[in-house]
Amino acid sequence: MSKPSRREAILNAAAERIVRVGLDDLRMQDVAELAQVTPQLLAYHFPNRAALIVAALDYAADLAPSVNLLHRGGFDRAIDTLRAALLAEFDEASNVRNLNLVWNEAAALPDAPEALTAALAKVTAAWDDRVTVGVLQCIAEGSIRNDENPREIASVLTATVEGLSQSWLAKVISTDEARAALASLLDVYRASD
Amino acid sequence: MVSLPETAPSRPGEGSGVNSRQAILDSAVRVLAREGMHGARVEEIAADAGVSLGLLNYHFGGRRSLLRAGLVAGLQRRPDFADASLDEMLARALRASELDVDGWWRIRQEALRIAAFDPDLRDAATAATTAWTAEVAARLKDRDGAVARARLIVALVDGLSQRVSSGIVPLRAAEHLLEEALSHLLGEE
Repeated sequence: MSKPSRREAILNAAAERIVRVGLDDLRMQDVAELAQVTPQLLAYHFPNRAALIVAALDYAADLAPSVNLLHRGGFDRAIDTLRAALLAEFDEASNVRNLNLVWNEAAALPDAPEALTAALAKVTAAWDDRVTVGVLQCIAEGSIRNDENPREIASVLTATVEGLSQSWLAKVISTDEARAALASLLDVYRASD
Repeated sequence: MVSLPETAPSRPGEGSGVNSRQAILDSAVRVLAREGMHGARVEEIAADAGVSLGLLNYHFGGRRSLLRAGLVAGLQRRPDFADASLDEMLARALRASELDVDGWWRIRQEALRIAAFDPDLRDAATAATTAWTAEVAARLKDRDGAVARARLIVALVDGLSQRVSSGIVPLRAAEHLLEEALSHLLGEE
């Protein structure tokens, strides 16, 4: 195993700071200190705060459990893969919560900088695309109704994950409640056997 | 109808400490609804309330605790939904980012975001979400599992509303998705 690159160490540190204080109070200096790099090296990789935040969002999106589980599969049936992938966004494991939180912060920030909005649009569209493929596989195997628009189902599923995330991260709803709600949404689109 | 309850007008330099405290809170709620936590400026809140920064700090002891108190106060000012139909309520929630719509939804979104870092906001955020979910549940025909279904609808609207607010999904597209999903969730298949 190679040790994580400096860039990765910085992104890890940025995620950790975002999880602790949010984007409002994210300071480049704190990230540099936590990553144990000089401000100059930080600036070399990320010339400004907006660039760092965009990279942190991309990083969270790359590692998002739902996307990676959909890629990996691992279940006989597409519906089981899809369900497991979506539910995996809600997990007490701190790395899962942290990834979710970084994404949520980027998505919920009022008056976000333009670069962040563009990055958010991109990762959200990619996520919707991936879930659409998952839904299409379910339709192909007959587990989701074939009279539905797969892209719309995917958008409803991912938007609901985001809405549940807002309340789950705030500890307003529990992990079990978030997962149960999501599972019941998927059931709505199930084809009757 | 759904409208934010009128707040008492603030009169600079007049009234007891209770009144000036209340005036500051009213202004904090207004500014937070418009600017969010990051953009809210203490100077603007003081000017809006017609008090000095010194008096504001005397009452609230600093920006962080003032804004937290403002979010909590704002969360408690849930619109009176009275006879509003489910469709009306959800349509307004979806348009939370528009400034002519009640600030309550924007305050709630912001409070949920901040509560992830600030445990002191969790009780107020939970109370507001529970009450909003109950309003939705009360309008569902199918009483069995109404709260669970309402929680799902609230989550979908929260997620869609966030996408509209951040500008990555047009309002029309979000309205369409909500309508489609509701036709299933409300059992009108």
